[in-house]
Amino acid sequence: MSGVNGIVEMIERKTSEKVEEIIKKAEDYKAKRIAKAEEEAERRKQSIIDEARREAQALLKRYEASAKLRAKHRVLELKSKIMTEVLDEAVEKAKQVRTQPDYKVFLTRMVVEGADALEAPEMELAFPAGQEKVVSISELTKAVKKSTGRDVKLTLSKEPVNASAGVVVRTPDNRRWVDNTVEARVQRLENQLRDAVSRILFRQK
Amino acid sequence: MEERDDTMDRIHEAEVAAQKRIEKAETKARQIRDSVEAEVRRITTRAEDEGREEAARIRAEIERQREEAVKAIEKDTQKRISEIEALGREKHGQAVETALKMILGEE
Repeated sequence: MSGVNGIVEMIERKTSEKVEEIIKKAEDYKAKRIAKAEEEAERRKQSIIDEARREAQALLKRYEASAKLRAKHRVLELKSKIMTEVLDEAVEKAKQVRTQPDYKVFLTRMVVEGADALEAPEMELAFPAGQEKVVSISELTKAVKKSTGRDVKLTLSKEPVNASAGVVVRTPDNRRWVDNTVEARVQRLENQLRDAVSRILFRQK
Repeated sequence: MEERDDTMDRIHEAEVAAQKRIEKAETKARQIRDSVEAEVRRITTRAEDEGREEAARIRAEIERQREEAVKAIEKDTQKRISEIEALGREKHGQAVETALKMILGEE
């Protein structure tokens, strides 16, 4: 019987070894799979966090840029409003120059400036209705001669110019002219006016 | 002859028992393998949940930073606006006078 016992024991030992091997293989597989899954899960978790961080930083930058832009617009709007108030007031005062005692001085200056720019021997002057009475053609002719050194012939236009104050100086053929009415000067000088006003108002101390 | 049969029986029984143990071990091994995928899903889900939780915390933190940044910009802007308004008031007359002189050709 001892021979049989040996065989049975051998079968049992071999079986135990086989069982152990089967379970060990499964456990090894499990351990490796779990380890790999944990690595992948950690990467996935990190990827979610990194993506959220990137998005959040980009969002923060956009918010900041947007807030800065809004702030810049507010400042620009305020500056524009202040400048417009100043220019409106200056233009209104300029339009009222016709009521001032020295309006004649202004008109003379505008005629001389226009005549100097045109450099024509003969020129026609167009004033707003009724304002031609403020000046005399002979005085204006003298003033032009004094300023430019040239003898010119000035005539009054029969048609008044539509403006609050000032004068249009033009050649008789109406091909060249200088519009020195207040409205035209404001339009022509707009950029220079804005620059000058801006320098005074907003120059940092 | 009887003894020989008995021997064969015992060996056969041992083999049958061995086969059963192996089958049982294989079943257990299969269960172990099957349970792994459920465990993997749990690990993945837990990691994603943790990731999303952290992401929500980051977003909340950014929201706080955004509010701070907007407040700081607003404060700077308000200060700048007050300075501009003060300068505007202080220099208004001079600016009007300069613009008027330019329009009237005095400078």
